[in-house]
Amino acid sequence: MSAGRRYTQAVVATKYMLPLIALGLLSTLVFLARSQPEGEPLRFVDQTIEDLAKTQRLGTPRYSAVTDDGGELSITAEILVPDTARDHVTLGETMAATLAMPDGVFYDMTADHGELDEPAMRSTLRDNVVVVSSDGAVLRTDALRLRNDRSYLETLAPVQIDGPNWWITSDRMEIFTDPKDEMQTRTVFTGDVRLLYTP
Amino acid sequence: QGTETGGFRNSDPDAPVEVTSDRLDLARAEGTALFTGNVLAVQGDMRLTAQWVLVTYLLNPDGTLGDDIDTITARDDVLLITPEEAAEGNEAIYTPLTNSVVMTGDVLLTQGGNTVAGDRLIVDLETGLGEVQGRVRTVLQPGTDEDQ
Repeated sequence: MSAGRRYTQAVVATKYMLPLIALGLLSTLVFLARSQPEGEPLRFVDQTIEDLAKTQRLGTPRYSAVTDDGGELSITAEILVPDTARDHVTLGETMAATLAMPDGVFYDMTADHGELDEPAMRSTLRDNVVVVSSDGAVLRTDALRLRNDRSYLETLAPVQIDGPNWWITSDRMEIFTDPKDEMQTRTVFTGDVRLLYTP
Repeated sequence: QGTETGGFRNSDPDAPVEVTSDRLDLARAEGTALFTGNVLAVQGDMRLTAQWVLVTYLLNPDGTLGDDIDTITARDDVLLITPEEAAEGNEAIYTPLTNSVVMTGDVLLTQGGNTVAGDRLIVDLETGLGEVQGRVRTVLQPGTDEDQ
């Protein structure tokens, strides 16, 4: 009879042992699985992250404002970068701006560099500044400044304007609306004004 | 009774006009350009100097700025100089369309050695004829060659 008993003990042992082995296998698998994802670094190009973080670049943003006297100003740039030295001042490259005066005349401006000074409500365009007016005049200067709150433009350097049958040069030029009547656009040239008119 | 002169012929009314001054105010809607401060306007061999020169443009029917000049008005130390003559006055109005200049206020016309004074000088720039009108008197320059 002893052989019979030995057979049943073996069967009982396997009945208990097999589930335990299965359980053990399962836990190691889970354990292994959990550690594997944490260890793997995400693959990003380190340089772009630093670049983005450091310069906070904005691509072709557009700044626009309606001025108190009913004009419209919009300024855009290929790249606008906060000025690290001054708060709320943004530096721009490859600038384009449009100033529409209340009486409908408008000026399209381009320049290599620009600066938007929020607190002073002023924007400056510099280097290779070209302004084309809606009545066909082309103005060239090295720098000009715009105000964000009024329809106002002033050159910060000598200016040359080429019209259909005239040209004007002067040390400085301002364009603004007449305080008494906003529908009147006034242009004032000061300093060594020269005009050549060919009838 | 007026005195005829002949030296004001504007040889080329279509010649370019060059104007220099300290300041220039352009008012689009009104079609005006106001030169102030040491104004000098030169066209051909004619020169006009003054402290205040207002150019008014003919407005197109739709109100936009025309290209043609309606009038040029000069004030304060007005001096109109041509190769043969010089005319001084308080105000001068030049009308390109009629090619004429009307000068008023203590007008002094100098031609060669003598000077004629009057209230008004009307000059036809085409013929070059100028006529001084009103209290005309001839002022002989003391000590000029003619006296010897």
